[in-house]
Amino acid sequence: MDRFADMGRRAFLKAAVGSVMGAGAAQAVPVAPAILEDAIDIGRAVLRTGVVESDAAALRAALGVIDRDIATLFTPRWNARMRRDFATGDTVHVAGWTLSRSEARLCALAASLRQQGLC
Amino acid sequence: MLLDARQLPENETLDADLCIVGGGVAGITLALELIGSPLQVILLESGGMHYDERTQSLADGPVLGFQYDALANSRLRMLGGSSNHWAGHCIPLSPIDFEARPGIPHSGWPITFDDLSTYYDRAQPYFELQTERPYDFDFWAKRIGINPLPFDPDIFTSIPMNESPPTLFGHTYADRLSRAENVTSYLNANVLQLEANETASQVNSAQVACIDGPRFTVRAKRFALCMGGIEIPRLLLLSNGVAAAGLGNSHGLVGRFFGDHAAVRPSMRFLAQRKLRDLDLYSKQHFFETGGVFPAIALSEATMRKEHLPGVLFHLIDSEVSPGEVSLWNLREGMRKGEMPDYLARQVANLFTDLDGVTNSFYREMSGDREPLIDRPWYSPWLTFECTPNPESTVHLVEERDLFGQLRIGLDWRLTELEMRAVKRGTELFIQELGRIGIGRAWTDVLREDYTWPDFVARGKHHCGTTRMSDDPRTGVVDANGRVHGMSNLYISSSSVFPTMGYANPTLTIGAMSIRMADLFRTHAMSGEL
Repeated sequence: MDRFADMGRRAFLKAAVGSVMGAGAAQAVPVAPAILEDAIDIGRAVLRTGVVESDAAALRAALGVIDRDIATLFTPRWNARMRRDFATGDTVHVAGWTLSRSEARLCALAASLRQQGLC
Repeated sequence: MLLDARQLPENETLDADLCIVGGGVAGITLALELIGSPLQVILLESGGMHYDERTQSLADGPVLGFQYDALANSRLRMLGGSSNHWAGHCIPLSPIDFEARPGIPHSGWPITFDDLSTYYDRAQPYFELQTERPYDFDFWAKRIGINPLPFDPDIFTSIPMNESPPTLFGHTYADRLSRAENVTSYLNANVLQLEANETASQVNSAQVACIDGPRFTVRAKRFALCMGGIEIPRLLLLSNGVAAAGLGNSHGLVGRFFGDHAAVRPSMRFLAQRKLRDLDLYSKQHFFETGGVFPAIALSEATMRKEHLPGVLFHLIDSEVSPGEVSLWNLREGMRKGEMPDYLARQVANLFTDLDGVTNSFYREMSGDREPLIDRPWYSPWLTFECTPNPESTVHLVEERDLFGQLRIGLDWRLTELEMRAVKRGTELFIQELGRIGIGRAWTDVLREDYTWPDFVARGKHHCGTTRMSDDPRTGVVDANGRVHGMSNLYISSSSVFPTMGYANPTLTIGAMSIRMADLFRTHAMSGEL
């Protein structure tokens, strides 16, 4: 059983509903290590379901990001995009949860970078 | 007057201008509206003032189709009828519910919302409800002091369901019925059959029997059937002395199109970012000096039209029960019964992915404390959906007999793909709106491709459609005034006449239609037609 299966939904929600995105902070800020780990766990689950691109390059391209530092990926700039995903029905289903495609991609990118040892 | 029919002599014949069959919301409202009119009215109620097992057994019958409650438990035979066990939710049908809608076969009424609008207003006091702007959501949100959630109005609409205390019509109005000079109400009076003239175009009398009591006859110029949507078709089908198929059934429609409000409870569980006060507007009933309001969230008319969907309604239920707790319960129940629960892998995964919930479950069990150890803002929205008109969903006579020797009726309720589509699409849109607004994220099984109806689909026990209203006798049993097609003096006021039923609980509409019928009868009395 991987870490996603072990993690609590509290962590899942921390990641998924905006805490990871540094709600309230306008600029890129480092993410607390525990929350980053949660995002990575979610990302692994996302990658396993195959609902988004499977490699870091494709995920970066889809998200339009060039950040090398994973910690600065998670900023409030994504909130509007995630809400727009929900508004347009651009969502994915992961283990019974419905996520915006952008947040699924962000978490998947985090997991992918971890897999490559880049974070 | 309010009398016990068991005190009548055997084979008595009673005469009236109007005989009302059924002393529930429909019958009592009709009778109360006619107090002081020139009409002599007899009201016949099967039960007494209190629950009686043998009387209740008359309502029993087999469930032949989709899961349902025991029929004997789905109505109450006593003065006040099923208002003796109702929840008190009141809301008018929406204008769209009266329309013939593309994509919803057999939909539409021969009347419009505007035809009922003033009767809805007049019905409010009968249910002890607010009369000032009762269905103006913004007005009530302001009064409660909580902002409505900013749903996209093209997708969801907040509605202020009104809350009756709930009014028990028998106990509340027994005194007024007792004092009415032109209305005589008989308790313990069970109508076994309607006797028609030789062309089955007019009812001459009702044959009535008491348990352990006399049999008697009521002759009247006009009859109004005000029972439920199972008992009315039963009586029409049993009244086959002249017309072999039963009264009003020349096109085989009596008993068809059975519908109810069904609900998936819950259709999802969502975890809010925090305890949002705005959610309290929807997750609680708010009571005032008169009546109350229970805000709910309905699929918008725009989406219903665009996607050809039936009505869908959400109630936010603040549950504190998480998916892990539910799965733990499902697995335990499965082990106890020796059966594996649905979606076994998901249930097991839930235990591991929701350790907070599992901890709460064990904590509650060990400590006996109802409060959770780990407080999480979980909500479990209930999704109620409209059943679309389906001629294959029926009630019909079966070979079993009741204690009078009368054939019982069986229920073969059927749901279609339309209802499943409403559940899935309604759930999907609600989850998307939760994300768009930034409330939280939701978990559900409903959106699985292999999702099927759960073991328990809640029923409103709102029996609709079995004597549906239509201008055309080939598509309906009663006309726009509630008169049975082909019969001059037989009328029906009941949810059984609803051709489409919306998401709204039917009781307020039943009351409004009885008031409308009373006005019609008064007009007929004035013109000499009655």
